Amino acid sequence: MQNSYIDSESFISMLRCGAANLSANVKEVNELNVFPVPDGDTGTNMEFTIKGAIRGAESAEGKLSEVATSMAKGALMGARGNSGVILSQFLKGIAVGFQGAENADVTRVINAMTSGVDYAYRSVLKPTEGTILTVMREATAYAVKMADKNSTLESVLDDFLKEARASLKRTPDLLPVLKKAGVVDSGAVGLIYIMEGFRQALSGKTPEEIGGAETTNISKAGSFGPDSVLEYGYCTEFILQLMNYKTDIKSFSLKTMTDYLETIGDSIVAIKDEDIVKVHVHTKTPELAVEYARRYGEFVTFKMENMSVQHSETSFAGNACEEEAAVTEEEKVRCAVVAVATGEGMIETLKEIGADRVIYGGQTMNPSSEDFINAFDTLNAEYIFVLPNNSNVYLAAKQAAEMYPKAKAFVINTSSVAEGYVALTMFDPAGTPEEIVSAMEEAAENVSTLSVTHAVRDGCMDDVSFREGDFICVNGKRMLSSAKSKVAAAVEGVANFEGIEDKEVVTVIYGKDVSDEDKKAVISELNARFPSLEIYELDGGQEVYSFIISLE
Amino acid sequence: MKDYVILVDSASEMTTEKRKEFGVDYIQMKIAYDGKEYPASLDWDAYSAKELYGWLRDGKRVTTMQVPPEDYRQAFAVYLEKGLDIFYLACSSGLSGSINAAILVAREMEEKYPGSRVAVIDALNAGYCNAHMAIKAAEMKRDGKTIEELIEWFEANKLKFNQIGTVETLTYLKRAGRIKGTAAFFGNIFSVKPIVINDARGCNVAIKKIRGRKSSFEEIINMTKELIEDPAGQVVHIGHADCIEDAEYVKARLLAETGCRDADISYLGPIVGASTGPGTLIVYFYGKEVTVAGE
Repeated sequence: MQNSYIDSESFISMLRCGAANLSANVKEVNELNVFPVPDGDTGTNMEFTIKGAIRGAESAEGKLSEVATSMAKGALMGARGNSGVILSQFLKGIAVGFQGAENADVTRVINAMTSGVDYAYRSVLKPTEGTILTVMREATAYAVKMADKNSTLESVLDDFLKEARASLKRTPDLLPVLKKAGVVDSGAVGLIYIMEGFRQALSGKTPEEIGGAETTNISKAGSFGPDSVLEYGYCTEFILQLMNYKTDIKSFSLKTMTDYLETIGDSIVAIKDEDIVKVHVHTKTPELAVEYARRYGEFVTFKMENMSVQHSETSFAGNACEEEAAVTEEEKVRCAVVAVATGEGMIETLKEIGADRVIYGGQTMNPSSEDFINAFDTLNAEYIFVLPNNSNVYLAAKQAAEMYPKAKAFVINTSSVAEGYVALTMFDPAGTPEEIVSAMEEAAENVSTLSVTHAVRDGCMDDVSFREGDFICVNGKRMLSSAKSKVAAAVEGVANFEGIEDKEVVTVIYGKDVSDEDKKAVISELNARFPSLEIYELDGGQEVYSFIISLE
Repeated sequence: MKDYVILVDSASEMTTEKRKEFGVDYIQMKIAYDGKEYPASLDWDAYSAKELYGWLRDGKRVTTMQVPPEDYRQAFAVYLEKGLDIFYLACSSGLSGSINAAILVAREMEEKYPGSRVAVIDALNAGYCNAHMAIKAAEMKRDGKTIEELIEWFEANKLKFNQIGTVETLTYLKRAGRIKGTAAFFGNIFSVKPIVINDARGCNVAIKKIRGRKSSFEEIINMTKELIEDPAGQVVHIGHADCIEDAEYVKARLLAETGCRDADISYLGPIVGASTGPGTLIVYFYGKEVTVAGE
């Protein structure tokens, strides 16, 4: 049966179903919340508001206009948060539209919705497009446009919902913060859930039926279904073991491979490390990438995700392609950083704090100029800042920077990973290249690096004698301490460092061989011996050096 | 001239004594902790400052809540019933949506109480800046200025109320969604102490990175010296989130180096404290107009 008008009773059922549908999906709405502040409470706030509206409606009797007026008052009382306040005003506008009416027919409902949009817009100091406001406005306008003499309440709400969902999809284009977070506007999603509930009430559903029903997941639904087109292709990532019987590994050219991949996709990132190649590509024809790659080797791992699905599921948890997103053609970045390090923890840390690429290497494995060039090639940047983090690596980096044609590369003369780390913490991509170089150089120059490692023979240097297997602490070429335990060597080393009284900040980078006990011990002993120092710790995971200690 | 009351809210940090001294009242926001709501009381009567910062240090999540329209309605009605107009200095629109509800209710109440005036000013600031503004407003009121004169003065001068702070970690500001800036600026680097100000649009923005906490105090002191105006005529304020020694240190330096008349110290209140985290230290003063606009 089609409904041609709303009366008090059906209005209350609609509100109840709207609230039930929102409640069933409140978690999703909360998780989408990034604007204006990502405090994750949009859904909860809207729930408070619609429940207030129901309380208000239930407390009145009589004709529709009386129930609606009381409903609007209840919504205002219950309103919380921006989307809640906007929703309450939308409902108030609707109540104003129902003024004096025993019940409301299609025309009146449409006018009331238009009045709701007016009220909602007027409630906000600075209306922001790309939010619940846009969606309610566009959806209402569409419903108005589509209405004719054959319209029923069902068709009006169907039109509203159809356009609302389309409008919702556009919100990230209007509000950059949404696009960045990869979500649609949370308040708008909440509104759609409520209106969906309204629509279900018209079909005779009860709130209980809706509350228990499977949730529809508006923000995710419809992104990829039986009728979708493959809009974004597949995010394809694999690690390829080059095989001797398939190719000459030494002369294998990564560039030949990336040149081919460019013909079938984009967002390409490819790295070669000896006989292993790691590739990331976005393509609509992953089978071609598979076939091509197998000419040279076999897969160690292979991962493929449909990016339409990925797109809609992108959330704060991040997604697989987030990191590489900066490489897409249209998104040339201004500044990028390439650093050199060993140790899983250190590599991760450097990436976390802003290194776009970390080349594996250091004291025992010096990267070549070509390694740098290859890394530069995976970036699409105007300026590249390079942290060689070892004096033996500096020249190769410098040479690569000088000959690199596609970007202006600057090498910061960092001679330890500690210096590189400290320099990188001061990286501010908003600065001019000169400002960036000088801020990073200044930070690095202020660092003294102590390293704790095993003595490989007996000896005596700088009045410190040591036996093979002892732990020694050195600063550059200067021997500072030796001890049977790594912790003692570190603490004594810091104590013997000339000028320690002028230092303020200590960062201890733990090597692979350091136990949790040792970590606790070194921090507590340093704290006890040097109460005025600020001490920070990092899990570097490097080989050879138990501790790398930066003193600033 | 019709008499009026000056209101701030829980984000203002205005202490019990100062509110009493200047006849300023405040609208209470709420915080939620462990599934329960608590008033964001500036009198610390529901929980002590030590307790609040204890919760935060224990890693408990304390969230702040906007003022619902109904609370504004009730708060405004108290004064309107007495025949008073209202001059309300609201927490920055860049930090809280409360002001939207306040403006809405103000309009509604002006209709309900014909002839009344409910002025809502977007302070574009939070914290003790808003208390400094309320004190200024109270002084102007004492000198016989009308609400309209206050509005005019504050619209022209509100960005001269400065705040410069440092936080132990950006975790709290980020979690509360109350900081703007580029992502790369904000790696989770504990040894880097950001200098945070309130920009010309009323948003928190990290403008500088400093290595080490002591150096961050140095930077705050230097910036205060550079930006303060009429030091002899003002009492600088230092708000701290449970780091009184640091506050005392900064106070001594400011007294010695800026020529300010005096410097007060108080705990950061529940709203600002919960949004910035233990160890936060903020200096509030009157000086050059803020022109920085974050992204």
